[in-house]
Amino acid sequence: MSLWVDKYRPKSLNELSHNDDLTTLLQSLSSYHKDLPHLLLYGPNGVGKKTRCMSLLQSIFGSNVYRLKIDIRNFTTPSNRKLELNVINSQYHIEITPSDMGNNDRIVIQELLKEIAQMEQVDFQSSSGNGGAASTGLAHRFKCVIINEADCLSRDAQAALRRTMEKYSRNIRLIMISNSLSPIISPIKSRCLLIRCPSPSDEEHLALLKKIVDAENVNVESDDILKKIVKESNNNIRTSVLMLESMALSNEFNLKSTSPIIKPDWLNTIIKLSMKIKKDRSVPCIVECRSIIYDLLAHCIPPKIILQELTFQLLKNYNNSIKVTDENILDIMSISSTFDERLALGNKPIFHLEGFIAKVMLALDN
Amino acid sequence: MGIKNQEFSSLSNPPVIQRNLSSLSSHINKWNTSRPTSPLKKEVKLTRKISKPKARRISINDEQASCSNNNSPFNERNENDMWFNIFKPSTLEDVCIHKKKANDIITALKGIMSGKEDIRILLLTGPSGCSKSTFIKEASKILIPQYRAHGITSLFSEESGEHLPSTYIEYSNDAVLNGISSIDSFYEFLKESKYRVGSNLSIILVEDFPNLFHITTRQNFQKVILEWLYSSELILPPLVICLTECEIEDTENNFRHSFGIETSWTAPTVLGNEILNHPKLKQIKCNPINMTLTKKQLNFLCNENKTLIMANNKWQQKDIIIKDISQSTGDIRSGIAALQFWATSSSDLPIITRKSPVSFFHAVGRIIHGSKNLTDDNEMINELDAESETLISSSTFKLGLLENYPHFNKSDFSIKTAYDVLDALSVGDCIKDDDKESLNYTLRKIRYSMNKQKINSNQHGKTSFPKEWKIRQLQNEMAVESSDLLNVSFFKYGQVRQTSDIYLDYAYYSPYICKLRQYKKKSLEYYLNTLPNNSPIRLETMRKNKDNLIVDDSIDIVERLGKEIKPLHLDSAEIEIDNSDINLKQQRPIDILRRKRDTKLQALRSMYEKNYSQEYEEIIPEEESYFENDPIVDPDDSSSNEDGLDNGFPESDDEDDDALYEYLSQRKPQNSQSQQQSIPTPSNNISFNESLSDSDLEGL
Repeated sequence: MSLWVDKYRPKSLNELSHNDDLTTLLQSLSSYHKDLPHLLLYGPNGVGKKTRCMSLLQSIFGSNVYRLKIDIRNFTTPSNRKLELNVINSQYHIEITPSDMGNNDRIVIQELLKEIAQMEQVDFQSSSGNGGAASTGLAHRFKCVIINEADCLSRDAQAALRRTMEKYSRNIRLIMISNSLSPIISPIKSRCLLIRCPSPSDEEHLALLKKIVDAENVNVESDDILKKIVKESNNNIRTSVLMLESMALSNEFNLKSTSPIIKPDWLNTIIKLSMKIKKDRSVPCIVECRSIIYDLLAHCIPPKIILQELTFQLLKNYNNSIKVTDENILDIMSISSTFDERLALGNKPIFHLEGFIAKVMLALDN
Repeated sequence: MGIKNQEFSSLSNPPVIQRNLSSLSSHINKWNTSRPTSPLKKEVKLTRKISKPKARRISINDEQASCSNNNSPFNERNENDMWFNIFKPSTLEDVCIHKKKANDIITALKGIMSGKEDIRILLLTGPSGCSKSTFIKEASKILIPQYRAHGITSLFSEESGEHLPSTYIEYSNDAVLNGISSIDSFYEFLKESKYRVGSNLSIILVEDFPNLFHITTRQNFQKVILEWLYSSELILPPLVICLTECEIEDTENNFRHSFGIETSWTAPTVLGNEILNHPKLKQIKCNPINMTLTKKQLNFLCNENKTLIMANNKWQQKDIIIKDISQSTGDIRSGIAALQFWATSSSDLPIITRKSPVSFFHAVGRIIHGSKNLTDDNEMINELDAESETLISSSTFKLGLLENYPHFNKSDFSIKTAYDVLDALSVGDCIKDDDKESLNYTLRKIRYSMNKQKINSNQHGKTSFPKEWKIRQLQNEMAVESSDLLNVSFFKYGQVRQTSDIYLDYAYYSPYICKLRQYKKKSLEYYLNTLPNNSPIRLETMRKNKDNLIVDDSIDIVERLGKEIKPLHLDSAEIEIDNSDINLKQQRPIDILRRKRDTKLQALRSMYEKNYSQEYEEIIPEEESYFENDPIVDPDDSSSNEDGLDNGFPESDDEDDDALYEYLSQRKPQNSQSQQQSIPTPSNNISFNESLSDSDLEGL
C-alpha cells in the first residue's frame, strides 16, 4: 500500500507537473551536468522541492539515485558523547536532516562532509570514452549532499558549512532544501544558486488531483470537492493528496461535493482552540487552552506552526462567535508577530503561546 | 506480672539506672559474640547480630554518661556533651511533639500490636529534628510491655538472668563492618526481626537505610519491604520506618528534570508508590515543631542550666534568644544546639540555626501569594534569592509559576493580570543572558501584579507541579513512534520520510489510511476465500486490490502516532516520579516503544533483505528495475549490514550471500565489457576498483 503521495510522485524531470519554467531551468542544469552549482531550493511546505531535487539527480545520475539505503554512522562530540545517526544515501548522494542531530549539527556536518569530500568519487563509465555512457549521465566525479530543512541548521553549522563548501567544492555539491531563506546566512546564499519553488496555482493543483482521481478510478461528482481540498490544504500538495486518499477510502471511492473534508486532527484542534478563545475570555479558559497547547506540543507540532495557524483561525469569522473587526485583525496580527519573535528568542514555547492567548483575549475584550 | 512491674519501675527511675542496665546488656552482648559458638547457639547469635550495633552505640553514650555521673561536676559535663543528648526526654510526656500527632502514633501502634487493625508498617515522615524516632523509642518502652506475651521466659532472660529484651530494635547500616553486603543486610535484619513476637515483642525501628542511591540496593530494599507487607505470617512485630525527608539541592546548577531520589529524599522516591499505596501501610506526617513547644523546651533547658548561663552573664537576654531561636527553626535538635552554643560561649554571638528550607511549592507560593511574615515584597524576594538561589533560578521554577498562577484567588482575577504575569514570564524567557536580571524581572513583576489584586477569599486552588517534563516524555515517545513509521515506510515501501513531515501530515493520515485499507482487506479476504484458488476472478481481484492486501497490521501502523489529541488534564500532571529504574516490572512507556520499534526494525530488515535476494535471483540488470528498492550497491556494505542486524537469522544470511554472488557473477561480463578489461572473479572486485582509480588519477 504505498500511499498515493508516493505512488504519484514524479520520478524524473519530464514528469514534473507544475511550474514549467522551473522544470526548464532544472533540465538545463542537468544537461550541463559536469558542473552543477551548489543549489538552494526554497519554497513553502509541500510544493515538491524534494521531488524536484531527486528528479534532477535522477536526470544527472540515472535511476540509481532511488536505490537508497540507510547507514548508521557514529559521531563523537567534543564532550565525548556518542551520537548515532541514520544517514540515507545512494551511490551518488547522501541526505542529512539537521533536526535529527539536535544541537550537534555542526560536528555532524563537518565530519560527514569532510569524510565524503576526502573520498574521490570515481566514475567507471566515462573513462571508456563511450558516447553512450556519457549520455546515461554517469560521468561525474562529485557526490551530492542533500541537506533537508536547511533553515533549521544552527548558525554554527552554517558557518562550518560555508568553509566546507569552498574547500571541497571539487568533490561535493550541496543541495539545500529550505522553507524560508531568512534563517540562512548570506555567505551561504551567495555561494548557491537560489531556486524558488512556488506553490502550484489552483488550476495546476486541481489538474494534479484530477490525474490521480482518474488513475485510481474515483468517482467525483463535481470538481467542487477537489477545489475544496485544494483550498483546505493551503496549497500543500502532500496534504491535499493525503486528504484525497483518506476521503476516497472512507467514502468508498465516491466523492460527493458535500463529502466532509478530512483535515489533520491537530488542525481541527487549533480551530476549536480559536473558537474557545473567542467565546470564553477568562482566566480558567486560559488554563484549559494551556492544556490543549501542551497536547499539541506533545505531538511534536512545532510551536511556530501552532502560533501561525492559531492566528489565521482567529482572524476568521464564524457565525456563533463574536465578530472580528478590522481593528481586531490589526491587533491580532501585531500581537502574533511580537510573540513569534519571542518564540524564536526564547526556550520554553509554552510561556509565549499562553501569553499570546492572554493578549488576544485582552484585545478582543476592548 | 512481676516482669511487667519490673519494667515499669525501671521506666520511672531516672535515666542513670537505665543506662546502667543497657550498658550491662552491651557488655553481655560483647561477651556473647566473642565466645566461640556451638551449633546449638547459632540461632541465638543470629538474633543478636542485629542488636549488637545498637548496643554498641548506647554503650558509647553510656561511657560518657557514667563518667560524668560518677566523676565530674555538672559544669564539666556540659563541655563534653551536647545538651540534646544529656537532656534526652526520659518519659513519653517529655517528648517534644504535638499532642495530636502523639495520639495518632500511639493509636496506630496500639492498633498494630493488638491486631485490631491490619497494618504492618507505620511510616513516619517529616523534616529532621521533629522527634520522630525519639517518640517511637519512648513509646515502645510504655507500649511493648503491655502487649508482650507473659509467662514464657525468653532466651534473653534465660541468659542474662535479669535482663529483658529491649523494647525496640533498630536497623543500622554498618553491614560492611559485619562482613555482609549492604543489600543483604537489610533483608537479614527483617528476616530475623520476624521472630520478635510474643514474649520477645519489640518495635522494629528503621531509621538508618542501606545505600538507596544505588539502584539495585533500592530495588532490593523495596522488594524486602513488599515481602514484609505480603508475608504469610499472621503476627508480625510492628515495623516503624522513620523517614527524614529532605530535598537535596544540586550544587552544580545542573538541574534534573524529574523528581528522582537524587534530588528529593521523600517517601515516594525512597519507597515507591506501590508500597506507599499499600493498605497495610499507614503513613503519619510529622510537622516541624511549633514555636510554643520549642519555647517550652528551651525554657526548661535554660532553667536546668541556670548556673552556667548566670556565670556567662546572659540570664537577662535568654527570653529574647529563645524567642529568636523558636521563630527561626522547627528543628528541636538544632534549636537546643543553638541555645547551648549561645549559653556556653562567653561573648555575644549570632545564633545559627538550621533554617527550615524553602520547598519548591513554598517558593512558588511566596511569589504568587506573597508572604505573611514579610510584608515588603522586595525584601521577601531578596531573601528568597539569597537563601534558595539554586531552587528559584531553575527553569522548573518559572514553569511552576506558570502552572500555579491561575490558582490565585480561585482564578477570580482579570485577564489583564493574567497577561501581566504571562508577559513577565515570556519576556524573562527571551532575555538571553539568563542571569539574575531576567529572573528578578520576572519574579518582581509577577509579585507586583499579583499584589495589586484584591483577594476575596483566602482559599486558593491546589498547587500542581509543572507538566513540562511530562510533555518532554510524550515528545520523546512521539519521536520514537515516528522513527518507527519512518522505518516501516522505508523498508516496506522504499519511501524516505522526513521527521517534520511525519509530525505534520503522516502522523495522522498514514495510520488513518492504513486502517481504512485494513478494513477493506478483511472483507476482501473473506470474499477471496469463497473463490477457488487460481481462478481468474480471484487473481484479478487480488491484482486490483493490491494496495489493500499489502497492509499488514503487525507491521503497518494503524493508530495515530502519539495517540489521539485530547487536552491533558490537570490530574494527569501529578508529580511524576522517575521510577524507571526502580521498578523493573513497570517500565516506562518509552522503553517499551523503543524495544517494540527495534524488534520490528529487525523483522523489517530481514524481510527487506529477503526481498533483495529474491530479486537478485531473477535479476535483470536493467534500469527498469530501479523502482524496486535495492540498496545494496557493493558487497562490502551489504555484508556489514547483515553483520550488524541479522544475528538471529544465520540462514537467511547465507542465502543472501549466495544470491549476491550469483548476482555479481551475472554482472561481471557486462562490466568487463564496458571497461574493456577482464576480471576473473567477483571476489577480485577490490583490485578492480584500485586499478581504475589509479588510471583515473593518472588522467588527472
